[in-house]
Amino acid sequence: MAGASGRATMLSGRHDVELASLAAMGERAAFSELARRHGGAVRALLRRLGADNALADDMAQDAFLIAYQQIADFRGEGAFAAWVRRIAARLYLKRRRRDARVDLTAETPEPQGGLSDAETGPIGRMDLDQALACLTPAERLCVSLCHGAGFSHAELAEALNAPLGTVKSHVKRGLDKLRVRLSDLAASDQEAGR
Amino acid sequence: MSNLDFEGQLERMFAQAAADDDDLAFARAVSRRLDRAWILRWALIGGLGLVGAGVAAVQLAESDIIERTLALSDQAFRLVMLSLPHDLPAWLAGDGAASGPQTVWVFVGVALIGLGGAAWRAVSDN
Repeated sequence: MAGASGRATMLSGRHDVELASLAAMGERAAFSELARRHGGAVRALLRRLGADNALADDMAQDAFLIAYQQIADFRGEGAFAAWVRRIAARLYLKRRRRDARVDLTAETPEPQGGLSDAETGPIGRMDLDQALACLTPAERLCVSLCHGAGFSHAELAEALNAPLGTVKSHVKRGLDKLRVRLSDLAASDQEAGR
Repeated sequence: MSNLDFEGQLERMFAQAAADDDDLAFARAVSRRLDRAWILRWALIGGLGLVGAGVAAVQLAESDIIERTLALSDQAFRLVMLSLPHDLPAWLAGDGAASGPQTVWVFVGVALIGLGGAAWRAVSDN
């Protein structure tokens, strides 16, 4: 038991790339450490894309299982977290396409399953979620996929089966709204702190 | 703030986890699912191996390969015994009752098991 906790402590000091190499050699504890480090960010991204908590949890686990199967393909050229977030985003898009839920025409923000008040946590930490709630579903999806999962505009257009111009304008409008909303939130945080 | 700075800041915010996420429980859930996948895979491989071994055993039993192997083994043993010098010490030549092809095979089997054990020990010590 002491050996296992010592091993976990040793792994917690390792860099992601080292852990990924160990995981590629079959060291499951190393992969578990990667899941511990980055699971939260992957789930947060899925919630920001529009998944509810249970779905975000399930899909994040699925994304890590796929990452484990493909860990030999991860060469450490980019961040491990970004690589898994991308896998998770692709899974989510696949799921939405299967459910025929990709609609880039809705103009009003929809209530978010994953962004209830109880989950917003300390002020400041969840500013992004509050700001994203002001975007239309299409804008939120496009901004989150571009800036949260690292999709290029062209990849996004292909993944959403939408014209490149439409995707670009959703990202642009979303970013403009986020910039305004985030500065408003920062200003109100500052006032509250006085 | 320039567009590039803002987008960089946004990407950092996206990389953050929610404050209330239980990372340890999530990692455990991922490990459990990995374990389950491994158990299923090994059960499948083991099951297929057992079926294959069963089919092979039935095929062997139905063929006369065992009798032919034993006959060849007897012939080879007789040839070896005939080729041995007549003045070999008794302990080396065997006393007739204990020696035979079966005895040789038992020795070979024991030697292989010993070698396997030594190799296993060497691998696990490293």
